[in-house]
Amino acid sequence: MKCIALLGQPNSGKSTVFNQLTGSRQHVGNWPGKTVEKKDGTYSYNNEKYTIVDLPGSYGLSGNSDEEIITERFIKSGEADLVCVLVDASQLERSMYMLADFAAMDVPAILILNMMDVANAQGKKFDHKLLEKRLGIPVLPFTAADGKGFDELKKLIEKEMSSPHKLISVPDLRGENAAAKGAPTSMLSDGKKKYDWISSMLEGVTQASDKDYSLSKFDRVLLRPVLGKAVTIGIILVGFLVAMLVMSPFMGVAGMLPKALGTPIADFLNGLGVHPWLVSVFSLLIPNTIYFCISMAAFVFGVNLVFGFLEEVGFLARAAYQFDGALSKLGLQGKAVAPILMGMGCTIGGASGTRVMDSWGQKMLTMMVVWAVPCASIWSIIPVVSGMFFPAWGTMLVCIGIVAYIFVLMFIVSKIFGKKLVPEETRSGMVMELPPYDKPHWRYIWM
Amino acid sequence: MFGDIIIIGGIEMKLSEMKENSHGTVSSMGTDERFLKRITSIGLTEGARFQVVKNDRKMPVLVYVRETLLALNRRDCEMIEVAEVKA
Repeated sequence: MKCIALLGQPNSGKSTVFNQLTGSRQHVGNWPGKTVEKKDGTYSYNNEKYTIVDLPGSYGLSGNSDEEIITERFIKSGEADLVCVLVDASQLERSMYMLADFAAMDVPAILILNMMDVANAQGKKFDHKLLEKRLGIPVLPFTAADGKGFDELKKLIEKEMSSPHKLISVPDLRGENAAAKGAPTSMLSDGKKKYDWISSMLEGVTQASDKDYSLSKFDRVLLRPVLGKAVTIGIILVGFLVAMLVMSPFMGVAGMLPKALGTPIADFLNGLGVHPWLVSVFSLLIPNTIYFCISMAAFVFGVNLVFGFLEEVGFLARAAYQFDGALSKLGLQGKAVAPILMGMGCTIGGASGTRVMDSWGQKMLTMMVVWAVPCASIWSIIPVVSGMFFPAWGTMLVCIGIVAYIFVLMFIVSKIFGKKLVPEETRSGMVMELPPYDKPHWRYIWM
Repeated sequence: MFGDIIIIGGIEMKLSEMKENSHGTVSSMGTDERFLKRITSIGLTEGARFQVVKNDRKMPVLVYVRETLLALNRRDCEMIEVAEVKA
């Protein structure tokens, strides 16, 4: 069976292309020996079945992150018959850095010039035929988000399988001997040479905008030092409210279970002469537990939905910017805000959210801090139990006190484990893109 | 690609010192290999032309380079030498 690999930087639309091609015929697992998510799937075209592997998103291939190592290894293994490289037409020059790194590998490829809708809205024009001629591989202008054009893509893939093309132009990195590879000056000059190559490829293909960049109206509020933080926290709180709203119909329906089943089951079992304790297990304990589980699962689902949406839209990156200062006091980066928030829904969700962190040590430390964050089940118990001991205002104080204590706990955890997991010398500060706001693709958040 | 660029008196400064909405080109980015790898692949290189979008106290510096909006922590911005240019 023919195998296709999807390669591209984050936000280049890889997931959209992957999801559109595979639909539900996809499988999520782990790359062997690593904690990086592996997504593969299949689709059929003209009675041929194809496998697609969605390679991890990274900005290049020459780094040391797990994602980059896995990607490079997979491509070099030759398991993929064709590599589809995705680039973002609205940020083309930077987006092509991945192609520049990929160029060193001698593998058949096509270039998908994605996000043409965004680029056209910016007034950009592209001479993709010229780029095609220069690169020697097919260049397909594309807009994955609108769902059209996939037939053309499948046709192109089919064609390339029988008559593949490889890049005829690659960045000239000669002059760096193997021993110097990885030395700082080599990295600097390699980078420069790659961008020089990109410029030469794009000469006459497109014109980058000359205009000054100005913040979008959302960013003008969200990025302000004081107001921005307040609005960010407000949006997060609204997010949790929405998650609870999503949860309520499930809770309502599930709540009927104990009411509906309690008495009939009790009557039935009592009629059989079953021990009263066992009767209460089956008529009270189990139905109520099921009700509780369904409610919690619905809340976790709601949290994942809400924060999936916020991530798609681009909000989480702004939140990371706002909280970077506070989180760096814990030895973490602003990006940790996502797993910590997810952890309020479900600690498991929070732990899996740590995949966005840059290094293993950061992942571990974030996970430990996430454990300090109470999850949905704890949030539901705290008011109930404190309500049993204190009057209403007392319960409020208890809740506030516990929230305050969370921060103390996070601080203590980071002090204890921070030095070992993320030692001072390796502490790297935030280097993060704030992607342009994007319309969310609901179908994919669902998945 | 950019039209005429006027370099102001060859004054070198740190990226962290640049004012909001000013423009510059990168002169040097230090020697930390890990940092260089990350920063290069995300679009910031020596000689690259950029615009400072936001530079608030104690917050990461927001820089627009190669049509990408980047948030860079202040500590690393103190290591990046730049030359200011007038747009």
